Parts: sequence; structure tokens; C-alpha cells
Amino acid sequence: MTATTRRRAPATADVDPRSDVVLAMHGVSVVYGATRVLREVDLSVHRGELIALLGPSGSGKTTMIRTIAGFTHPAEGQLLLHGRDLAGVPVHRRNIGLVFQSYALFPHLSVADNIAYPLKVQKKSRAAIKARVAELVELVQLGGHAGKRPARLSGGQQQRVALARALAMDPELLLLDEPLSNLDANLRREVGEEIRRLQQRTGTTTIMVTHDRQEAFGMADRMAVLRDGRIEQLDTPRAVYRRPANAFMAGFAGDANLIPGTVTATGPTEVTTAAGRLATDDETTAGAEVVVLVRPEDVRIEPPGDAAPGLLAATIAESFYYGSSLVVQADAGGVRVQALVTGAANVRFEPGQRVSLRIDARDAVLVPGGATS
Amino acid sequence: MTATLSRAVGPPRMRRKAPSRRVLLLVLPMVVVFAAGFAVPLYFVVRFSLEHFDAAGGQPWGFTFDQFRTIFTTPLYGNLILRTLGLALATTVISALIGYPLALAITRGPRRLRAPLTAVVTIPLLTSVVVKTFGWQVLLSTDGLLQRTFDAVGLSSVKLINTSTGVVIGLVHTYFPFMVISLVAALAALDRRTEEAAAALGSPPGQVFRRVTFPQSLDGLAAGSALTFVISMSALITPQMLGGGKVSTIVTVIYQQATTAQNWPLASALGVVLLIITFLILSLQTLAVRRATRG
Repeated sequence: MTATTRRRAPATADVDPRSDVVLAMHGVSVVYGATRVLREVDLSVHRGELIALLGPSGSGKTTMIRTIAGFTHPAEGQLLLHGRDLAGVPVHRRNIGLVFQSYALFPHLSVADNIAYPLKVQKKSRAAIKARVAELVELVQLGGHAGKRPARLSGGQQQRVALARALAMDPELLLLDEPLSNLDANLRREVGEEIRRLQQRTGTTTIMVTHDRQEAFGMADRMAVLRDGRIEQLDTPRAVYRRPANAFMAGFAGDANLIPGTVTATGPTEVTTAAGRLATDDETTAGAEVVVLVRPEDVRIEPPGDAAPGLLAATIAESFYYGSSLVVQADAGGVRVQALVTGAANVRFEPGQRVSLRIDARDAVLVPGGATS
Repeated sequence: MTATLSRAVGPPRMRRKAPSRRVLLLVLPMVVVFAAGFAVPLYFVVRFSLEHFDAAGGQPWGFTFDQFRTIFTTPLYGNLILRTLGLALATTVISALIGYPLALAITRGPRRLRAPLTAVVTIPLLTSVVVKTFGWQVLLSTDGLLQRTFDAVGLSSVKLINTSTGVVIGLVHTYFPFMVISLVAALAALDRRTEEAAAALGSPPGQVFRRVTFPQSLDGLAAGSALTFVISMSALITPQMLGGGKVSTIVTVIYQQATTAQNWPLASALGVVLLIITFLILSLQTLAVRRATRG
């Protein structure tokens, strides 16, 4: 059963429609043998933005960038780069930069020669090449390494060489395939932020593939979440987190309490669930069966009090202390509700303790499409 | 600070142990074979090469550089060394020219061609050299199929049997598999993503090969060339059977001197010269690879 939900206000500022579209994909499908890896994908990438393609492995995200780069050809649909149809345009004429997950640096060339490669291919003058390489070496902070072979560099350094090499050709579009997955976990955030700064400074339109939602949230202007070769949702990270398109997206974007219920009052909307009554700012029709999304960090634990809309009577079931936060599982009328308490150095909850869970109306979001999708 | 800390709390460094007796026991058979089969004979070859030879009186025990002086001052031997190197070089170059496309086809071609092409390469290796060379004798002989074909197309001036040409044909057939195997290993180990990266950076296919694939296969080409050169240089049966006594190499002369002329000191000295050339070529290859991989 599907409830019709309307947003009271646009949750996000949409991307400026006047900015030019660098890449447009219209109904692109890719087929390998009998399997359909991409299904009618539509995507518009605007100048200067970074779009993250996020999805579990096998969702088609790598196929998508290989299709854009020209290594794979769509069975249906159209790809336009600055309005020019890419069908029949070979890889080397697309001017689309690509940074591989394994970097794919040329092992027989020095760092400087790797970066100079696209410039030599373009037959730039020796002086122009030298100047541009020096500029890029500076940009990716590899001064002092220019003469070395890639094998002598660390993973993070190799990645910066790959990035500089792709930027050297001044690509109309830059594709990054899992740029952080080959780095140590403690380096990832740092390098991710560095790539983002670089991308913004150079204004390079970029599509990044990742399976790590933290990476996508931290780096992207917009993110496209892929599932089974389809884009489930395309929006800003904030919108994806706050306004997931469906229950799958709600869970995919982060920890989520998904509480099913029935709308018992409108204007303001009130949902009656097994856990108690919840108030929400979203509008819908009375009597509709809905699912309410509440993020754990929006659940506040208070001393037990009278039940009211947005205030659930509950019992603490378990709690886990993670240093910077405390994760509490509470039982409200048989419904498990997870709460995340930050700055909780001196806060303790014992199993069996009776509490009230406060959920503000602005933090209770009606998920379109119901529980199953 | 963090580095010192992690080193302090990290796992204790493994101390390198002296090789235990058990390890020595494991390498003992190899040491015995090496000593009996290589070091001792080598010693005798070097020792013989420094002796006198007297056709009438045999081999008086002594110490002289006479044999080497003969080799390096007689034009006959100088030419012999040059011819041997020339045959080996021709064999190597032709093997590379045939082997590279074949190695590319094996590693890059359609999957169903891989098995038959690999067979083309390995079957010569599995066949006896004598059998192969007899086959070539038939094909290359004056009224053989190949010579007749040559005559028919107006190449009758090219003689195949008992010439350097015939010897090189036989040597290539016998030893090109070593070239192909080295190249296949190099091309298979090459990261294909580097080729895709080159294409994305603007290189059309021919340029991808020239700038990215070929340079990365140079190690394999160097190894295959050194191997083919050294082995074809020391071949005996092929030059003997296809050269018919008219194409002599260092090795055929060593054979003659040792068996027919009974001149062991000269045969040994020629052997030492061959050994030194081999050593120089292998060092050159090692040096080239080291230069190429230096960062």
C-alpha cells in the first residue's frame, strides 16, 4: 500500500538549471550477454560539480564509468558530451580523464613523464610541457619526486600522480574509479578531502565511483545511488540523508529507524504506530499506511513522562559506548528504536531503565513507497 | 612521534637466523651435482686450454697461452668467432620478428586461438633436434620442396642446404620458442589498465602499443634475445647437419678438434672463449634490465 506524500518545502536547493550540462545520459542501458548491467540510466552532470556514484558491488557503477569513458558501449540510449553524441567516438578522442582504482601508472616512465604523457600525445611544445608538468607536480604536492619511477612512491603519492596525469590533458570530464579504496583506512579521509579541494580549485567536472557512503557524503555535490543497474536516487548528500527516496535508500544512506504506522490526524500530521504516536511536518492523507524514518541521532532520551505525539514511552534494552558516541537500543511497545547520544561521557543507561524517547516533528520523515521497495 | 610509537609497540623484529643444518642438507644434492657436473669439468677445460699441443707427441703437461694466441692471431679463428656471432644474431633477430607477433596473438588474440598457437610454440621444443633437423635437410636439399619453390620464383641463386641461410632457418625453428615464451611471460604480466589509461589520455591504438605496451615488454625481449642468442651460438647438431661441413661455428670446430684432430688444448681454449662470450652477453642483458628498472 502506497501513501501519497508531499513535501512541505523543497528539501534541497536544486542544482542551478542554467549551469551548462557537461555530460548527459539518456536512457542508457548496457548489456553483457544475457545480463542487463545498466538499465535506462538518465544523468546530467553540470559544469564543475562532483557527482558520486554510490552503490554496492555489482550495482553497475564501474560499468557506468567504463561506458562514459568509451570502453563499453551501450545497447540503448545516448551519451552526450557538451551536446555532442559520443556514439562511435573512440576512447582516445573523448577527452575524458580516467583515474583507475589501481592507478595504472606507466611503470617504465618517471613521475614527470607520466604526467607529461597526454601533453606529448597532444604534441605540445617542449617548453609548454615542462611548464605544465611543473605546475601539476606543484598542484599535487609531489615536488622532489618528479624524477622517480612510480614503483618508488607510496600508494597515496601514486594516486596523486594518476590524478595529475589525468588533469594534464585538461579533460572535459574526470572519472575516478574507487579513488580511495587502495589506500590505508587512516589515509582515506585525508586524501578524499585533498581530491575534493583539488577538484574545486581546478573546477574539473568529476564523476567518482565509490562503494563507501562516507566518501560519497564527504566529497560529492550530488550523489547517484545505484542498485541493480538503476539510479535509485540522485540528489545532494543532505537530501539523500534527510529525504531518502524509499526505504532501501533510507537504510543505505545511514542508520535508520523505520517505523510503520497509520496516519490518524492531518494538519499537523500525526502517525499512530506500535511504538506510540509520532508527529511529523510532512503532509499526507488521513488513514494512509506510512513508514516514518527517524535517524538515531534525532532520538533524544528523556526521563519517563506522559505519552504525547512525538514522545514515546520506552525501556532501555542495550547500550554500546563508542567513545565519541553512545548507541542505545530501546524497546517502545515492541518496536526497536535506536538512539545515538553524542557527548555522552557521563551519561549511562541501564537495561530495563524506563525512559521517554523524544522525536521532533521536523525529524520524523515519511518515506515514500512504504516499507517494501 | 607516531612513527616511533608504532615502532615501539609493534611486533618484535624477526632476528635472521643462521641457516640451519636442515637447510644445508636440502641443498646438498644440488651442490654435489653442481660440483661433479659443472665445476670439475670446467676446471679441466680451463686447465686443458693452457696446455701445449704436439701433433706427434700428444699433450705434454705444461702451462702456456699458445692456444689463445693462435685463436686471436689467426684470421681463420677470428672469422669463425664473427661467423658464429653473426649466425646467432641472425637467429635472434628473426626469432624476435616472428616471435613478437606470435606472443601478441597468444596473449591478446581470441581465446580459442590460444591453445593451437601455444602448441605451435611448444611442439618444436618437444621434438628431438635430430629429427627436426633431418626434416629440414629434406626440405632444404637441392631437390627439396623449399629449394624448388625458391628456384621456381627466380630465387635460384639462394641456396639453402649447406649454407648459412639453411643453418639460420634450422636454428630459428629450434630456438624461437625460447623467445616466444619470454615474450608471452612479459606481455601476460603487463597491466592492461596501463593500455586503457593511455587510450583515455588520447593515444590511438598504434601509439598505445609504441609508447606503452612495447616499452613494458622490453625486459622479456631482452631475456628472450639473450637466451636465444646464447643457445643458438652453442648449437652443434643444426649447424653440422644443415651446414654440411661448409658452415663451421665455434662449436663445430671444437667438436672437430676434440674428436678428429685430438687437439684438446685448442678445443678447450675455444670452449673458454665461447664461455666468456656467453658470460658477457648475459651480463649485458642483466645490466640492461637493471638500467631499465632503475627508478
